[in-house]
Formats: sequence, C-alpha cells, structure tokens
Amino acid sequence: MAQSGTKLTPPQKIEMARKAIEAGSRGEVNPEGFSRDAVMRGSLVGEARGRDAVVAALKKAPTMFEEFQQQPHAILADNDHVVALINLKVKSRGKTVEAQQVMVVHTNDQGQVTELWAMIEPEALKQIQNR
Amino acid sequence: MAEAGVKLSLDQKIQKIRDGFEAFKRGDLKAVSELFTDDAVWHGRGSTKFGGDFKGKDALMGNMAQFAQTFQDIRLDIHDILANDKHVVALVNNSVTRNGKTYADQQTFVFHVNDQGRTTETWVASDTEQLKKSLEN
Repeated sequence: MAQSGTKLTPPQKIEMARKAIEAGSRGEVNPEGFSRDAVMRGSLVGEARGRDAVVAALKKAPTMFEEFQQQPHAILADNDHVVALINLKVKSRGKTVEAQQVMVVHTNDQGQVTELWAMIEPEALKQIQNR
Repeated sequence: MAEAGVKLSLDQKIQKIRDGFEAFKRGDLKAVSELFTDDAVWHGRGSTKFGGDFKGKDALMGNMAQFAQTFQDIRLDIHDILANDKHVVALVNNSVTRNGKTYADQQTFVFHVNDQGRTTETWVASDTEQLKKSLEN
C-alpha cells in the first residue's frame, strides 16, 4: 500500500492488481485495498456497496466452487482505471468451465479500489451457474 | 499512418483505435477497414450471428456492416482507452435501438495492434444475452 498522499503510478497499480488477483483466487482479500464507499458489480456475486460488503463478496466467490482459478492474461492501467483480462477456470460437481473475465477497476490516488466491475460473458456465466 | 518500420507509441496506438471508433460512428467503414490487417481476426462472443470468429478483413468488415444495418441509433461513447505493448483496451458505453427499443451495455474491446498501428486481432466482451434478446424482438 502506498503512503497516504502518495499518488500511485500505473505500473504500481498494475503490480497491486496482480497481487490482489492472485490473493483473491485463494479467498484472501485485504480490506485496506478498498475505499470505505467502494462499490462492486460482479457477474458471479452481484452488487455490493461499501468496503465490508465488497470484501465479503470477493471472499465468497472462490467458496462457490471446488476450484477457482483467476489467471491474469494482461493487466493495463492509466490514471483512472486498471483493466485486468483474466482467464477464469472454475470446477464444481466435477465439471470444469473456462471463461474469459474482464475486470475494470477505478482507483483513487492511493491505489484503493473505489469501484470494481467484474464481468463474465453471459453465455459462459450460464454454463458456470448451470454446472 | 506511420511510415513502414516506424514503431508507434502507445499513445499513437490509442489514437488509432479512437480514430476507428470515430470512423464507425460517422459510417465511414472504408476508414475503419484501413485500420485492420488483411488477415485480422475478430472474436465475437455469444451464439448470435455476431458471435464466433470472423477471419480476414473482408469477413470482419462484413460482420461490422451487418451490425450497422441491423440496429439504429448506434451509440459508442468511449469511456477510456488503455494500452500496453501487446494490447489496446477500449471501455465503451454502448446503446443501440431496434424496433423502437433501446438496449444499453458496457462493452470492453480488446485489440492487438501491430507496430504500424493496424489491428490484427479483436475480442469483444459484451452482454450477449441482451444482444440475443434484441435480435429476437
């Protein structure tokens, strides 16, 4: 985490996102990485408002499956957004579904997530939900 | 267009993609076409006629032209465009109208753009369920 008042560069945001995604795959989420009023909209877990709700939603996702792997294909960042292109693999009831996930994140200058949008293409999502 | 052998910067690649969206919005598909390599591939998602792989410039431009003919009042508002060495990603607020009904969506376009600023491969992440409904109605 950057010091208070320190504006993160895009490469720093990318590195933070990479570590957060890796940890998130294991169900580990650092609450300090989110602003108090953070909002999340996710294909798997719906909408969550506020830091506690977002953290809970992110922790919940891996528990919905026997296996949950998020492998970043690429992570890009500019001053306003971080975008992660993720190869998602989930396994449930012995069936594995692979999908491409796009994660779009708004961050503040301290690198905290203020808004997170995690989208899986709906027809792949149906396969996951109908597993 | 950059001279042969000149490697475009990330900002220049972003501008190429922005130019492509602007050209599509004004209906200049010839200008859009010039931004793709002859062997470019467009990966559409979902099970509609716009889903699947369109290989070659003619095929992907045909798909794009059909999209433009299928919908009215196509709006593509660029929210942001980001780039790194391998990808250009456009975040787009999109809406289309068909048979009097408007459908809004947030879409992500992922482009591979070569050093000369031409797109070699495109992936589109969008609400394909809504697209399917819009075609059924």
